[in-house]
Amino acid sequence: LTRDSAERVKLFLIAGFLGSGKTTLLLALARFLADARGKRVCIIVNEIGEVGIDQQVMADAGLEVWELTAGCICCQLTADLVTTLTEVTGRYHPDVVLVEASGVATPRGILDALRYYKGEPFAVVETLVLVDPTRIEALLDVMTPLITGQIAAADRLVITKGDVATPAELAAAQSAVGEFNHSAPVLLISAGDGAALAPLLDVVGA
Amino acid sequence: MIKAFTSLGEIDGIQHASYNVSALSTIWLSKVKWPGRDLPVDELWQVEERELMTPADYDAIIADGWGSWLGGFIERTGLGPEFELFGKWAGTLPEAFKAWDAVGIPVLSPVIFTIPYEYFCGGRSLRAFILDLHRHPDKVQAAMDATMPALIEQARGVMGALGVTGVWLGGWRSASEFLSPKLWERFVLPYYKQMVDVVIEAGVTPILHFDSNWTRDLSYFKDFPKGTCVLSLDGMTDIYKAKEVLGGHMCLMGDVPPSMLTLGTPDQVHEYSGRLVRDIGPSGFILAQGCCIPPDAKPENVAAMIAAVH
Repeated sequence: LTRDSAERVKLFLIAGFLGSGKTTLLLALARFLADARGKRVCIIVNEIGEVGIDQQVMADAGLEVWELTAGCICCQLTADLVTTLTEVTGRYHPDVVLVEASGVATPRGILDALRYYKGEPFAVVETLVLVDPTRIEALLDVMTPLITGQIAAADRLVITKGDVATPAELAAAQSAVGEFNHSAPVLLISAGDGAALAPLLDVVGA
Repeated sequence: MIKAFTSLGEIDGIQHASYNVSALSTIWLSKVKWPGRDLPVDELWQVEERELMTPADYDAIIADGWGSWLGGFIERTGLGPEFELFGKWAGTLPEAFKAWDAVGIPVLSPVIFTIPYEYFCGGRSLRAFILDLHRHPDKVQAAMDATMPALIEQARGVMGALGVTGVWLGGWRSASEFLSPKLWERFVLPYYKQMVDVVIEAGVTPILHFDSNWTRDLSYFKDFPKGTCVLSLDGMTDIYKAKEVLGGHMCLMGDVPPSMLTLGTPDQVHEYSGRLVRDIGPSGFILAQGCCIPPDAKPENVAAMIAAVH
């Protein structure tokens, strides 16, 4: 059976440097979409996962978790992602696929690899880039091209750790995202702050 | 390995005589999960990104030198079996050289050298190392400087013992696409320069295996002596820009993307490869895969790449 375009799978790439909270956000989104919205959700996490994922717990919650295990980020991860995406969409026909990008990947590089994807068409491909305000100054100092590239490629920017960052750190993060991406909406969230996720959930699960 | 590659077409050289994943543990100071041992047999190997090195290790390296420190580190972190395995595998290299020599195929870069940045970034984990560069740059640099004499001595010893004509010298974590220019100029470039000089002094060709995107800093490589290096790119660096900047100064190598070898079609690979031969070559160019041929590459795609030179 071929689903019409309104039912096609939505793909969300969740990017950001290591430690920005990608896995935490991804799991919160996935649980909500499955529990509250009854969506079929598949999760693809990368090989440098920031938080251990208990596959059985996720399976019990009705979530399919796939791990990218490419040996070398530099040259094999994108192929592994495309292969996994094809298998996931072909086997499970999910409503939403959440992909955790490697912390050292630019979204553009990953999206370029999708030209090889021949599986079920995506109705939406959107990139959420997470920014950790507590470390943005250090990351911009050291990893300037990577961090600015990630921010610039975002469709939506999510400033995480709103509950632990100082006002100065939040201001620095706001300034950075505004400097390198003029068009993406910016959302501020805190760990465990379900209400703050609402705007994001509407985007992902609509 | 010889049967596999010679069955796909006529090749003029091979990067490694043989390969063992334990090599990755020795250059990234990390544990590596092996297919068939730690992972399902059909998976690709996987580096564990863990903080095996601590900030105190910088002090120990500065005080004791790399060689003295490394032994204790290996014992403390349980990497001993990986290093032992690497040693055993390295002992088989002369035999592997003979096997390739017997079929008339030169081994271009059978041994791997890199710089302290790659060791430290792997051992500390990328996330922790980046913060080290921000918070303690002088200490990191001092540890790098304390490491270099041992790496240079080791490189000279390996080249002398094995009689190689080329070496793999490179990395990916130190690529220009990640680091700010001022830090790249401080923590990456000077150390590659030292290693390049050591290799050239030994009469050996440095094959600069620079994975990820180095486009921003290509002009710095003009400082390497003309006609002595090969720059091997993986499809991420703009190879056309590399020719514009470095053409006539060093040989270029690559850069058929590994993802194309896995996911593309023979026609796509042949067209891409042929374009490289015409545009980047034919002289001063070695057509090759970018980085490495993935274990899940389609054999017909590899054959198409090899056939594209005719």
